[in-house]
Amino acid sequence: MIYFVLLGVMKGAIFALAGWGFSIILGILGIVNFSHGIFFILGGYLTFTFAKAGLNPWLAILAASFLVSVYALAIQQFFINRVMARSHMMVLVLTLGLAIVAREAMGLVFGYNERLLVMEGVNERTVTLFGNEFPLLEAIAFALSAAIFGFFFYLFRYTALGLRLRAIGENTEIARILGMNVGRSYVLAMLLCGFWTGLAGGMTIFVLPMDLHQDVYWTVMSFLVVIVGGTGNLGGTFLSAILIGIILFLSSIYARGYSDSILYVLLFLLMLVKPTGLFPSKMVVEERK
Amino acid sequence: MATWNKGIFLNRNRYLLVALAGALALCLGPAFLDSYWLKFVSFLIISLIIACSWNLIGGYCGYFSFGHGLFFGIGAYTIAVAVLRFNVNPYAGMLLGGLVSAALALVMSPMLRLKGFNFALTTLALLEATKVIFPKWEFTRGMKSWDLGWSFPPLMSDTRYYLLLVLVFFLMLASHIVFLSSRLGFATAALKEDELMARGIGVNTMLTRVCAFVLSAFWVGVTGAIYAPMITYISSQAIFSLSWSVKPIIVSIFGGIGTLTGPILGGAILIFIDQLLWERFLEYHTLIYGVLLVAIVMFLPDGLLSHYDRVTSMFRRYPPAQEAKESHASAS
Repeated sequence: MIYFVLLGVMKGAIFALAGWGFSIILGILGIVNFSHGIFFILGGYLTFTFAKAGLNPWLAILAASFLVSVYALAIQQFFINRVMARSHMMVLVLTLGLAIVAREAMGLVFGYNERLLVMEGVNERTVTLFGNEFPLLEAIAFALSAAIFGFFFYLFRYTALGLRLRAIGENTEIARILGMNVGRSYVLAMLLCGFWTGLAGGMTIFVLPMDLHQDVYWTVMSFLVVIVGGTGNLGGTFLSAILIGIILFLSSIYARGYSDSILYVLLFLLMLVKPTGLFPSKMVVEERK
Repeated sequence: MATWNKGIFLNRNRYLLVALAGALALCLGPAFLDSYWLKFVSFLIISLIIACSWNLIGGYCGYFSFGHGLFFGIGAYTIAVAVLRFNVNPYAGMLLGGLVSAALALVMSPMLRLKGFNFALTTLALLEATKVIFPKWEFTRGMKSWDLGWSFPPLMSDTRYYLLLVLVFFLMLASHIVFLSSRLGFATAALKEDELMARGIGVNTMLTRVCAFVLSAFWVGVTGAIYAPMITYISSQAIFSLSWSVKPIIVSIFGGIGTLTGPILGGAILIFIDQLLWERFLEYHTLIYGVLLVAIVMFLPDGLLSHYDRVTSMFRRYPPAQEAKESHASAS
């Protein structure tokens, strides 16, 4: 049982990894990016392609993440920026359209087959923690998300840059009046989001088989992690991702096939009882139109 | 932005008459259309009903529901269970589909306390949950234990379905017109502009939203219940597919969100284009659809109707007749 919970924690770490970028974009730009799942899938597919081409798998992940962040930036510069000023809800529809286009284009380039990257000496390797054996990659994913959490916490809490980003998230107009460069901060946020999400996808393709139609799933999961954790609360995102990982893992063992439904119904109930999420941040980003 | 059909200034009787005339004109359809086009127009009307219903909650109230396909699917499954399992009369089954949908919307109504993105996500999550649960639950899985869907025996002719859909379309439009020109319609307008202010001046915002949501769900449910026997086979994957939830949003935005005629106009054009694409470029159909969606949001965010209004306002009489008379009177 405890072993299952720990495995669930490691599964949750992947959700946290996917959710960070979403959280940043929702917190700073104030938009829901429905292409988020595409960043994730693209990261995985590019890693697969590079690794198959003979690149060192770790380098492949880094290169893929970098390309995904470039893609994220391009989307932001050419599409999101122009629609954002008008309505934040419209951005949701816009990014949904972009996700459809990207998915179909990727289908033309990569084909629709399922991908799972199996590398000699990477997949089957395990580490022993607390007397139990764990898959190495999931342990790395967990360590990585903990490290990223630490990095972001430090960035947003203790640095001038983090202060600026938070200020922009809280009130864009006043931040602009105070002389902050809002556009450049958006670029930074989008680059960070693309990089970490691509990284998450690159890690995941070693662990779970991936296909193009999963992008909606990953978008919804990232969204869910952020909403459950409470918008604008990084610690909350991390905790809720781990909680969701445990719920999913346990329900996939004790109630096979129903795990996603259980999760969604729980989300529905949570939203009825506590619309601000489990760990609402003290400075909840004001809901914008 | 246009106000001429946004609800507050709606001329109820005139709109009802126009809707009635339109419905009567559509009733002539079977005399002119061959079976292919009759089916096509039937599907078109189904999409229009869903789009208009979505527009009531998404456009007029500003609640972007991403799971409106849920009500469609619930309606379809209700008639399947009612007619095939309990031998209910098909017409009663269609009504029942609407009623079950409306009841579900009522149960879901506490969700309307959520705002913006959270509402969108929660509706989407419920849709996905239902999609997984229905094929596993014996009661809804199918007639026999190994079925993964419901197949209908032929219940009515295509013409009958078509006429039923026209009737539902008209009733839905009429109910929207009555709703929007009533006190509740004023309340939706106030609610969308500024909820806090609306509450401040004594609008019961929750009641307004719940009424709009239930009305919206009811007609979608009825349509789902007509759709299911019409296509003779339903499965959870197809009927709860995300595209039933996304299409009405696209159509409403394209035509003009929060306007009465916008979704109808937008739907008629978009679904026609969609059909052509489907026939000509089956392989790239989804890709082109996505590009279209992006283009609409980028270049037509206010919808087609806003351009119509821009053109008509250019040819507005100037100075306005009323003012001209007044200035004349004061001068003399």
